[in-house]
Formats: sequence, structure tokens, C-alpha cells
Amino acid sequence: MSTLTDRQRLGQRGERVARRFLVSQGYIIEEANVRFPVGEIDLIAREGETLCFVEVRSTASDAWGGPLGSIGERKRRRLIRAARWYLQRLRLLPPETRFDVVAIDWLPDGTPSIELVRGAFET
Amino acid sequence: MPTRSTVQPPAPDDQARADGFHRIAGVDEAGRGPWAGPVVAAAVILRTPRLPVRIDDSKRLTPAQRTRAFHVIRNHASVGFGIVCADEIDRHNILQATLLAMQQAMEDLPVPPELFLIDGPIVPRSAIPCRPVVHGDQYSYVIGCASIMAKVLRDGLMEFYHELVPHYALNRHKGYGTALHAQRLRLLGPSVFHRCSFRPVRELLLSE
Repeated sequence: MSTLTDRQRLGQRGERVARRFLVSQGYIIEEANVRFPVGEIDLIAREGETLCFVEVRSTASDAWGGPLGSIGERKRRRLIRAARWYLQRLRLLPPETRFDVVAIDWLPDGTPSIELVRGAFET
Repeated sequence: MPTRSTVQPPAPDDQARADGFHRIAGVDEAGRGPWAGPVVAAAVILRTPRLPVRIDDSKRLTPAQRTRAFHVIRNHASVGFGIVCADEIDRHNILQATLLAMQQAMEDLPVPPELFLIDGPIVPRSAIPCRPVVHGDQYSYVIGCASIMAKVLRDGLMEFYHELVPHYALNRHKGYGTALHAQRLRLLGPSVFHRCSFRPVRELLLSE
């Protein structure tokens, strides 16, 4: 039995796809779906020395302005706050950090088309 | 032909003694400018006129020289301290906070002096007479002592705060505005020790 909405189910599927895609790109996943009082982060992963905070966007179309356009100012602030919360509690700071966005566009036949934007925005 | 006089004005300490004051306290502050940490003030009454250690403006001594001087001064003087932390600095402003720290240091002395020599152009409110001495940390021996006491205590506090919020490297820059400090502040946002009312801090956080 499931009480998830279609939108949530799409989001969950998107996160699985994004996760597999990042691994195929050489990322090492550290955390998934982390929630802090100040915000949440879909995926935290390492690419080499860089710690990446990854936002996954599952959209059915480009109507929302593409992968970056759908991240508003409020969302950006929440991501930065959550990332700071996470960093403050690490024993060691990573040498580099970055915010990445994985945008997933579902084609009519149900297959995902994936776009990765490294360093999508700055703190 | 008139020649320029080479007579130096007497040091503020000598002037004060010449004016009949015997127990003279020097007051100075450390940490007005940094982005993080408290402003710390010290008040010093010397029991001996000269100390067996190099005394100078605290900024002209190395950290090791300052620490050595700190211990010598503590053994040969009465010392009072005042500490006003970042959120109080944000609530008032840095000038008021500095005067408050000085006032606390003056009241913290175990015995009151007859005269205060205060570094800078402005003097805190006090029932005991005060004289402002511009660049007092360079011209007055007893203010130089106070500047060392304030500076060493503040640096020690910053080392301690560093243990509590290690990622800002407060132990290295002591809260002052360096490239490293700016980078960490942008990355992590402010800690409880940051003066969010300071413009550089505000501007670094604006991107949030």
C-alpha cells in the first residue's frame, strides 16, 4: 500500500536514477535524502576531493525553465543553509565543496534524459 | 635665526606624576577591528616603575615576547579585564562596546587608581579622573602594559573559541579579516562568535 502522490513517486524514481548516474560518473555517494532543521539535501557525494551537495530535479518537461530555472531563491537559500549545517558538523572540512544539480527529464516513453550541472550555484 | 626646539614633551606617565598623581592606571583595548570574537580591555596599575621585560605597543612585539611580558606584568601589577562579546557589539556598536569593555576593566581593578590614562581620543564614563592619550600604547609605558594584557588575553580566548568552532581557523587569524577567514565565512555562514553587524561580514553573508 502506498500513500505517495504521483509527484512524490516521480521524485523517488528520479533520485534513484540520479544516484545511479552519479555513481557511473565516478561520484561516491555519502548520504541520501538528509533532512536538517534548516533544509534538506537530496544527495551528498564526493567527486575526487570535492564534496558535492546535489539537488535532484525531476520534471516532466522544460516548461519550468530547465534544470536551473526550477531552483528558486528560497530553495537555493535552504540548500546553502543545509549544506552549512552539514559542514559545521564534520570533523574535517573537505578541501573543496560544490553545489551540483541533476535534472531529469522524462521522455514520453518513460526513459529518463539526464543532465548534470556541476557548480550550479555558489554560496 | 630661530632653531626648532628639540625638547620632547614629557611622557604621559611622567606628566601625570608631575601633576601629583601617584597611582596611575593605564587602559587599552584589543580587538576593535576583527570580524569575530570579543573586544577585550585591560587596566593596569604598576607596582614598580619599570619592568624587567620589553614593553611596547603590543602590535610591535612578537607573540612570544607578548606572552612573556604578560606574565611579568601580572606579577608586578594590579590588572583588571573587561570582555564584551560579539552579540553585545552587534546590539550596541563597536565604539560603545569598546568603552563598555574599558569601563568593566577599570571597575575590575582590585583597588582604584587616582588617575586613568586611556588609550585613544575618547574616555569612558568614570567617577575617577581620566585622561585620553592618543597613540597611548606607543607613548605611555603603563598603557603599553595594558595593551599587552588585553591582546594576550584576547588571543587566548580566540584559541579557546577555535576549539568550539574549529572550521573558521580562529586560532590562525584571531577573528581578523583575512582571505582564509572570508572563505570559511562564505562556506559556513556565521558562528555565534561573529559580528554580523560588521559590513564585511554582512556582505559575505548577503549571498546566503
